[in-house]
Amino acid sequence: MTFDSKLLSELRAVVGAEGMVEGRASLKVYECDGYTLAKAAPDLVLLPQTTAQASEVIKLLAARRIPFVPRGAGTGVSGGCLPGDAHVMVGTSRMRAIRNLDLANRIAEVEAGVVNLEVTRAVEGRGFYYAPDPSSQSACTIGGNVAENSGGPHTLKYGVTVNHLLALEVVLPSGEVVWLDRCGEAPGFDLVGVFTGSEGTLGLVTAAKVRLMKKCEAVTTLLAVFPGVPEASRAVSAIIAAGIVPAALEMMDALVISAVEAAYRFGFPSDAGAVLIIELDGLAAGLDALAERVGQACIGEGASEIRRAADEAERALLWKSRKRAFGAMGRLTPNYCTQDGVVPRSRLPEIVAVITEVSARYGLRIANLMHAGDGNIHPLILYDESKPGEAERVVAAGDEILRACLDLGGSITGEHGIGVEKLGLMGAAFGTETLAAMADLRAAFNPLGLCNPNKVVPTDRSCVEVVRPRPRGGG
Amino acid sequence: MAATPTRASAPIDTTVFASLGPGQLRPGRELDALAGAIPQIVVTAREVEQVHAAITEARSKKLGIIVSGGATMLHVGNAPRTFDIKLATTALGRIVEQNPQDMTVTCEAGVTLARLQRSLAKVGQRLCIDAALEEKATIGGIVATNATGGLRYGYGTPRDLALGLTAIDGCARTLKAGGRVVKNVAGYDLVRLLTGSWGSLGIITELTLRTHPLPAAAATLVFDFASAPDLDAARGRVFGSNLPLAALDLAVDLSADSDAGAGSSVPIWSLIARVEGSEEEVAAQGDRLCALCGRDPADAVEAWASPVGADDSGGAAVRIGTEPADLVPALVDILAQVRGGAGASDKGPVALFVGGHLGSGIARLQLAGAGSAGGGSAGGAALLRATEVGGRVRTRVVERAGPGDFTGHDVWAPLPASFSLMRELKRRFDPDAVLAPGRFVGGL
Ligand SMILES: Cc1cc2nc3c(=O)[nH]c(=O)nc-3n(C[C@H](O)[C@H](O)[C@H](O)COP(=O)(O)OP(=O)(O)OC[C@H]3O[C@@H](n4cnc5c(N)ncnc54)[C@H](O)[C@@H]3O)c2cc1C
Repeated sequence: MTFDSKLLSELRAVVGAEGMVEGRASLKVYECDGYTLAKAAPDLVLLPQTTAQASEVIKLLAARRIPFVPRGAGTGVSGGCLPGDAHVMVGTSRMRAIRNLDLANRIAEVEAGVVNLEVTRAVEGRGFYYAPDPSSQSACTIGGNVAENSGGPHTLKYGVTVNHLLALEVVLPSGEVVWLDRCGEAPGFDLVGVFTGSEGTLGLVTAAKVRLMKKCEAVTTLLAVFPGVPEASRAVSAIIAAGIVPAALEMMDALVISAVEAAYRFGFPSDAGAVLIIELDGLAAGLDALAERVGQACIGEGASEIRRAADEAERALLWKSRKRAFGAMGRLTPNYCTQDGVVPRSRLPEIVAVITEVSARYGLRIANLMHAGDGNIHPLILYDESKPGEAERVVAAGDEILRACLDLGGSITGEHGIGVEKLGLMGAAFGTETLAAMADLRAAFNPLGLCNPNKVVPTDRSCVEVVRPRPRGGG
Repeated sequence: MAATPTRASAPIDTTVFASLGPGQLRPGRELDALAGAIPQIVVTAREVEQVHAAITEARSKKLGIIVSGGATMLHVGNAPRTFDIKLATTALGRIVEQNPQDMTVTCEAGVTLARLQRSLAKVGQRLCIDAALEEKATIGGIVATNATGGLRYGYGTPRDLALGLTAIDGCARTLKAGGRVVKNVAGYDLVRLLTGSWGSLGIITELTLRTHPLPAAAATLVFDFASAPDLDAARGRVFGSNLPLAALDLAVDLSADSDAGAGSSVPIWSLIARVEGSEEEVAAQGDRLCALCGRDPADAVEAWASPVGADDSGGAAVRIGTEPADLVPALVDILAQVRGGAGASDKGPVALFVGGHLGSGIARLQLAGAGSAGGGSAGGAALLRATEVGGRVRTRVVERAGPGDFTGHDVWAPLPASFSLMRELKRRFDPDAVLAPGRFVGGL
């Protein structure tokens, strides 16, 4: 798409030359997010530095009915940043101010382009932290976290992004700036709750007021080693059945373990069929006894060994192994595709059986990484895109697994979002009346479809069979 | 006030409710009136289809439907523009599925909180919602109003605990939102749209909620302070600590006034903390609390009841919202005004009940019911004047303006900055304004 020179000079007047990315070579960076097999560079990227600038450029676009796509760090894994019909991208990478730290009220007001981990960095010296901790937290932005309602390993006890939001400053697709507020008992609908997880289709988040948490007095991290995934899955249920809610309860299977061991050398037993990483936190009093009970529950389900991180360094290495597991997968395979299904946690053994069966039937290796305590699976389907037909088999296998999640009473996505990737499954997940209501919800914010068109909810146009390319990473 | 509907409505075709059994359909009576409007009929739905039929009938004739659960909060809201059908959900009473291993429960909207808690207790779990009047309050009503008690400090509000729901919206569409899993980002979050929408977008018929294990041990510790600044200093230390409290509440006891006359004696400010966990954790938290409060508790019991209640005594009641650190100073100002102001016109003691959530900056102030001291209109007017939005008071809901008086007050304040979006949502989910017409914020 070419833009008239008047528009370009008006946009430049708002964001300055540094705030405009043009030209094929520079735009290539923006051709995809963490979902890499579908690529399309936008024709123009705008990088406003302030909310006022963001509002101005969106108004200029809206006046000409030019659609745009919001973008944070581009770590999303469902193709939410793909331009599609929108040829303009509005990125938040220059909106990185921490506007206010109100520790007396435990609130931080940060701009959308602030990286997740920077929030914690800004307050940890005073004993606070920001709880949602996606594995991508050293790169992904608060705006992207809001858009995807991101979770992380500690979601089990502390909840996902939406549970930590108090207010959002957003620029609507019309360019109007509005605060959505749920502090205290602000009257009205929970628009913060509605906006969160809307994947950039209702407007651009420019700032958020987030709740800060106080670091726990004590924390302990256990590694439980199992002969296989079924035993580890049953241990998850046993821990929950014992009335224990750990801070985190994560699973890795043998394939994932072999990759992370090669990369980070934590010292996982080479014969482990699966491990659980179990973190317990709270008061120092009683923590040892709790760890003992968790260990017994694991042994009861067949764990061969329970290890407790001896010190902070060992704990950090264990978490690095988990959080960077995706990065390590390259050692096993040229390509992989992550799915993000959810099942009720007691049905983990059943979905694991489905994955094993699908893997055998399609002749594809599948590695299992899970936010097991939440029932949020991340099967990584390994493949080689240079082998003819393999990528198509991966898509079909992934679909089967997600449909099985629905059959078990679960969901097609726990944290990665629908994006373009899972649009084709929305009809299986929701009835037509619910989908129509979702379309109405979008229209209330985005009546002309100018903001991130053709994502999340199938429209008449996007209902046609979308070719679903294969993402990387995530989780 | 004369009991007449605010808008003349078309007569209802009761044959559309042919499936209703005995006792499920009756004419409206005086006791069903809201702001003087008596509904034409009262329908007690037993099946979702009957809810659907009511909405369809209402749409075709542009009638107003108001949903009634346990009726503990039914009086809260602006005067309805029309009120033709009162739809009671109390007979939608099935507990559909308890999944202790998944820590979820699915039930119909009319199940009372107390009944659900009893049922969950049998499997060692509970719902971490301690909304008031639990024998009457229904789960549907609690979610529709996002009602909470003190446990919101440790476990969040219904917005954090509702995982999925079924609702019929104003277009008579059946919405199945969310699911039965604890983590789910598929599509837009219709669960949060409906949670706290006060029956104005859809009628909730079934819900799935997150449950928690019953704690092995628990204690409620009450620390009394003779002055608000002393309490506030202790609050700051506790709120700034890393104690994983289940609740951090406030109660102000003004009853000393009754003995000594209005304004002449000192109220007692109590910090009420709920600690839960293993025996060891409960003991350790108790010790830390004593250190932070600089004293031993005046009272320590196992039972828990949040001091922020609702009641049906009819006295004026408001809820205010402030920044957490502003709550106590705001209350000091308000109490000075109410006690001084009321004293000016009716020189009696002020029977005012004050409870608050110190972690969220929320307080509820209520005068004793009509006939009691301070329950008269002068006390109510003083309370309304003193709690107006501005300064530290950021939000206010007038639960009850005074005896029999619904009108003439801004029930929900302030009008949100995002009101035009809310109006758009209302227009799309309830285009004929059949659901609680006019009752919610800004007359939605
Ligand atoms: C290695 C790896 C690990 C990951 N681990 C996790 C994990 O543990 N948990 C998890 O939940 N996710 C995880 N993810 C996914 C991803 O990091 C999250 O979805 C993240 O929140 C995206 O943030 P971002 O800034 O990169 O957003 P982007 O990728 O730039 O955008 C994602 C979507 O949000 C929209 N968007 C971005 N910014 C805004 C804004 N300011 N306003 C409105 N819309 C906006 C975009 O249009 C797009 O639709 C992982 C990804 C990778 C690559």
